[in-house]
Amino acid sequence: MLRLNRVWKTYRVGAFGTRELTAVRDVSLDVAPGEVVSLIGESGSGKTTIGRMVLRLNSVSQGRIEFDGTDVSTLRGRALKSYYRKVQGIFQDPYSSFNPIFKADRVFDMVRRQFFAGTPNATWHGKIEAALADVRLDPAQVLNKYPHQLSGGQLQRMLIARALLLDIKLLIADEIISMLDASTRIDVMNLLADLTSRGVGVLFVTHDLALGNYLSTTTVILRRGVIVEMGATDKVFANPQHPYSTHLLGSVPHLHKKWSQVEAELARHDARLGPCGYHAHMPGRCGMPPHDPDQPMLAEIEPGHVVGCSYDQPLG
Amino acid sequence: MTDTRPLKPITADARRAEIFRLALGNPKVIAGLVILATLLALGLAAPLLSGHGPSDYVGPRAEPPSADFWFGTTLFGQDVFVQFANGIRSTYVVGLLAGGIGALVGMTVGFVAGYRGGVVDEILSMITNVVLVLPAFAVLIILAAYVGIDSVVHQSVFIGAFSWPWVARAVRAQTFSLRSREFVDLARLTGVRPLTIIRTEIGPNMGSYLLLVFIVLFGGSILTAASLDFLGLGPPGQMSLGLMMNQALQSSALVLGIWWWFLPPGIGIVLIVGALYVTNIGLDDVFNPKLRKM
Amino acid sequence: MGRYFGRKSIVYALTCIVAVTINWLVPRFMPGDPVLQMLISRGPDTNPEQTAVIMDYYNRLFGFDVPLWQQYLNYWGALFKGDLGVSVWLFPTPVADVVLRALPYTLGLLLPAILLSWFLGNKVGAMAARRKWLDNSVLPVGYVLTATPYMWLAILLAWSLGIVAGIFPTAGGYGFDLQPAVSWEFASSLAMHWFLPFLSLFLVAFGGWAIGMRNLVIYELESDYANYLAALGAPPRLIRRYAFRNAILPQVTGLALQLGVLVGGSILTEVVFAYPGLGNLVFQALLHRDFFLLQGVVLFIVIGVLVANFVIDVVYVLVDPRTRAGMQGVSA
Repeated sequence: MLRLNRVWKTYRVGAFGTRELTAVRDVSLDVAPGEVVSLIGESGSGKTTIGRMVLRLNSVSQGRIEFDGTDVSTLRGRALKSYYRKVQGIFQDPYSSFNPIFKADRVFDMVRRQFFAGTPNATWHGKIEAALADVRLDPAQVLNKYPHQLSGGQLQRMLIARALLLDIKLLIADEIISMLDASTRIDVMNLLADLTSRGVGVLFVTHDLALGNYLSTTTVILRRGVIVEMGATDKVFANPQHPYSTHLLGSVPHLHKKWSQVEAELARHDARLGPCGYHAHMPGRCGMPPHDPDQPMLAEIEPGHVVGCSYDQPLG
Repeated sequence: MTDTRPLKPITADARRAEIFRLALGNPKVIAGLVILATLLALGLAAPLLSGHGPSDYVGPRAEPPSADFWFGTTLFGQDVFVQFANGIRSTYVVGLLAGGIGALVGMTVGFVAGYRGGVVDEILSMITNVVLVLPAFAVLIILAAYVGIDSVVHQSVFIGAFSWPWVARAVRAQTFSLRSREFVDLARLTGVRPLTIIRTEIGPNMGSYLLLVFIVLFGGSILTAASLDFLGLGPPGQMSLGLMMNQALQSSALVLGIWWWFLPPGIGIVLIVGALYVTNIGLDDVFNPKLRKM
Repeated sequence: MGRYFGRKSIVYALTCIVAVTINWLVPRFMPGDPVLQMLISRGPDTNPEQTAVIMDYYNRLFGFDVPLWQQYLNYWGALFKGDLGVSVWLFPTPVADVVLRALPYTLGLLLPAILLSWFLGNKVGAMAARRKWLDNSVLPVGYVLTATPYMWLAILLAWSLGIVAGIFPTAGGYGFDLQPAVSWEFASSLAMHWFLPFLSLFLVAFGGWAIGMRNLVIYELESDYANYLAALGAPPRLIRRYAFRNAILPQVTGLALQLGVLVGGSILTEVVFAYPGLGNLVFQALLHRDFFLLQGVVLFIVIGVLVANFVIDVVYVLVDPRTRAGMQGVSA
């Protein structure tokens, strides 16, 4: 359904765009209907940028993002609108997702004005009530209120309800529960699980491995804009190949381990080991650019489980 | 005991009413508005108050204030009060028009630069900075002297054309920070067009600020217009407070002691501009409670 | 750092070009012949010979016989040589000479008025921010002063202190009976004539600075870092000093932004006092429809303001700890 094909994102920074900053580097991945793909990485890994590119909030510098075979970046006007009917996003901060000076249910009104202008009042209200029931919200508690009168969990659920008003096929969920209390997190996670049972694909962007594991069918681990490991969640979690993934998975219970230590250990790893998981399957030597520019960046080490070179290579 | 009852739903109208109530409960806002309204009424009533125009020679020369001529007469026997009332009216017109034009241009440039970013922003910001460092009054003198100003509207356009840069800068900065808020992303995901997003999502968040900006521009435009009029660069045949001062000074009213000629126009300007500023701080108190504690 | 100044320089260069271009463009594309119009407005032609000379001179100056782009380049060339043309009103004195003769008077007024009002305004404003009784008097007075048109305050002072009280003279740069000389008598006359225009410029500007500083300091004192310092038990004096330091930066920027307004104010004030500076020249040029003089003076003022702006930019960089750190290479 959604296919990213060698997608790059380069930002121009500084006066008149004199310097370049690569946020996403040669990323390819797929999201199928009913599938949850977790995009896991620390901050600055480019995971949010990928989500925003899919949502057309940021442009793609190189490569293609396809939805049902159409290049997303070519969509204009009516076509873009019908894309947004099928693809929606929810963001990290529920309070910032609502315009503070208007009532929260204005997000529903906006959907109506843009997509359901002809729908009679009664039908529309029925639709809203059904959507709110789907996310287990009581209309009396959330309608006609200002965002600051509602809890973060209520607001995030309203945003899911908003997506349900549309014929949503793909949801980009960008850290949607990281700002919620532990008690509401699991409710929202279960709502996402409901969505997938209806055939909605979810791109679940998170820095939290446990959450990624809980929900997802496929796990993608990103580091500095590059996919280092990708595969079925059970395979990646049971048998991590890339040292970064190993440390990431290993560091979950270790509360006191700092990223700087991880970096140091990674460097030591480079010095210690012979060929990495990638080069065990691919020609070439760690740390050297591949001879063939078309050589894939990821090597399949077992069916449905790919990994990148573990040497911390200074790319491009 | 904490109150556990659910909060009473606040409607948009109720919120507006709350702001309105706070504003009308603020003595500064009240005082400012009363002065502004009184002078406006005087300006509007100017043509009704007497049967003669501001430049007609109707009375004895240099007569001090009396029952017939409330503010006395000029050296040439013109009615100072009629001049004053007419001047007040054109002062309001210039302030509203020039302030409005300045605010409109400044907001448009600021919104577009802040929302679009990139090259558009670079170009608009460059233009803004150029107009900002250009000493507006000096350029206005050249324009007024060569191109000429033939009406109050014309004068307002000139003044508005040079008063907008600081507005553009401030609006741009605020738009820039609002643009990255997620509710703007959500509006984009709903397929709302950029101009509509600026109007319905970003603009309302700056509503109170834009009102304050307009008031400051209003006052500033009045001062600039009066200065141009004082140099004799105002619209010909149009009585204004600046022109009254010009004529009084040119006719040696100071040496002759005709104080009733040159005091009223200044008092009028100080009252209007001062009242605007006082209203402004009052509204600022209402919108930004930080200053309220003082 | 280099980029900061690079960008600023582009703005100033552009502004300069825009100003000069407006100055060149406006008279050329106005309907009617400005030279003729100007000469007609001088009144009955009493000296046809001189008029012919002037006509000829200006037509040559405009250089209508060469293509437009060359006229434009010639204009720039003349400008670089300091040639602003010749005044019609004071024919045949070059405009540059007229301007340079008036310049000391304007600078003598503006510099002390701007600097003193800025320093004292900031001091008083900062004091008002923490003393209720002072605030209650500074705030209203400040707002009335900023709402006062420059020329009206000048008229008020001239009338009250000059004519009614008779303390100060109200016209000219020095006594009409004196010739410029290095003498005690001349210096005191100069000072007496200087005082009222200075005071009137100073007062209006002072009100604006005081209010601005007061509001800025209050915002700073309410900020999180101030509250945090107070919670740590820092002495109020220290907190106030920090607040003042942070508040002074926007006031430096404000100085740059207000320069144009202040220069405009000095034009108006000089007109009221017939003070022989640039402002009065503007007025005389307008009265005598001496457009070349007017253009010359205005161009001079514009460039002067640009230069002053640039100086303030440099000062800002020197006093702002963030940019200072940048200069030493602490941040990229």
